Amino acid sequence: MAKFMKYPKSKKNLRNNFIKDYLDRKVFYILTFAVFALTCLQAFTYKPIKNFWYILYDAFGNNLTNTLFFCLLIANIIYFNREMKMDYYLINRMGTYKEKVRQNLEIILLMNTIIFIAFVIMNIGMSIFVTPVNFKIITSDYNIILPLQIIFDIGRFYIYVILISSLVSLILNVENKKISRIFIVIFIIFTMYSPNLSNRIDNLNILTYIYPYTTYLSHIVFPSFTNEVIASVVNIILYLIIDVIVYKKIIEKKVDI
Amino acid sequence: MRIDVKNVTKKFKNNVVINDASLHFESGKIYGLLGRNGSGKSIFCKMIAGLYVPTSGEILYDGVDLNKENRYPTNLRALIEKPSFFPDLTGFQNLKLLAEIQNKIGDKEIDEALSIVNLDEKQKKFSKYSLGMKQKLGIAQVIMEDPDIMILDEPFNGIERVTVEKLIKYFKKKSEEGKLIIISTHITDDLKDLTDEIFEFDNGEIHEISKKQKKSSK
Repeated sequence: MAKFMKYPKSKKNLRNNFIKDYLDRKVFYILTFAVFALTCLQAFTYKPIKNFWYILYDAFGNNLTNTLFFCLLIANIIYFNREMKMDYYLINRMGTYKEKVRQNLEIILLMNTIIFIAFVIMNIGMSIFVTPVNFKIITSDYNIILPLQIIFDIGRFYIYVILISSLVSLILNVENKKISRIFIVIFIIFTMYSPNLSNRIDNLNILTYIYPYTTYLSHIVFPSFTNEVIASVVNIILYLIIDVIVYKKIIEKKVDI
Repeated sequence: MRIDVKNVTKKFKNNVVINDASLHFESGKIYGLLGRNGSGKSIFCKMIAGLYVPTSGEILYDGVDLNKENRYPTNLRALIEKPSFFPDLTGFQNLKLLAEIQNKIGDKEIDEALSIVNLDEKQKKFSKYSLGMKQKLGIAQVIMEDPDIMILDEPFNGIERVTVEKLIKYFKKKSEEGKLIIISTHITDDLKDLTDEIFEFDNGEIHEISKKQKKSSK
């Protein structure tokens, strides 16, 4: 029992050291600067309403910024797999291939969480910078207060960050590197693809649920807030199912490190 | 402890690095793998360590094919190519972090391992280490947990003679205690007097070129 209780501490220490190492690397500063550039890009585009909450809400719904942000996260994962992946002397101590995949995944999710937190903080900072005086609480298209809508948007955004990062990270473990590269390219195209929608969806149908995640983040107006929540949850569950299937497939067969 | 390599072939695309190799290793012996650079010694070491999966054939650890079970041999430690430790941690901290994963040893054993490899500056950050010091730390991570199997690929590169001699004595002692040790090198002199059996790697083929009678078996 004592041995079992000490194991998580060692995993935590290992993860912390990977993250510390990552934060000291140039790539982290380059990515943070790129995220800053993205927040500037969206903050200085024309806004019809000069209100802090509206500008913050708008910041998380900018399709171009969101697409580029996810491309940065994918680039971050590719960097980790090339330059920072676990060395053999760590893996030999892990015991199983499953444990190795899981540890890698946890570190990547932490790294991308840090980038996401930077994205949120910079968006908040930029919104204050653009509208330093108008903090009046206004309502969204669903007639709910914007702070509530923003919390929902950020929460949904983070869930997509986790699911998409997991998927890309797992795909990079596929033995056939050609297949994993082709998948990553297709996935980036999928991320950039935006269906030709008006800004409003009148009825939920099967197609609504399989829109790319970036479409969900770009403030399409559903018939009601409840409908948006339902559609988002269904879409998230679809990604979750894909993640679980890929994870199970990956850990089934050990490949060269 | 016994490792059986049965008809193992390793290919990368169409390049055959190891071709239908069959050999076995057993406890209480030191094995030498000899061959020029690029002859496949490191790839072979990685397969023995469970890090590379054979394209065909199997590697059995006491009769068990760990690759089929998606496991790594946890009683095996290896030094293959240069290990990339955390640059901001000292040698001691790096080893402690590794030791915590299986939680078998404490600070005393880590200190002993560092002392065996003559790595005195244990409080220096890894990023400030010379090539020789990095190599010594790599060997220390192999020996510190006193594993059943030790695999060392070109272990004496960049290490001064006095430490090499100390390590040779250490490996001989460990072999007598029943450990299985595999040392790979491209320098024949490194293996003289140290190994019980030597295998030569040449164009994907592995041949046994020397076998010593163990004193105990006489």
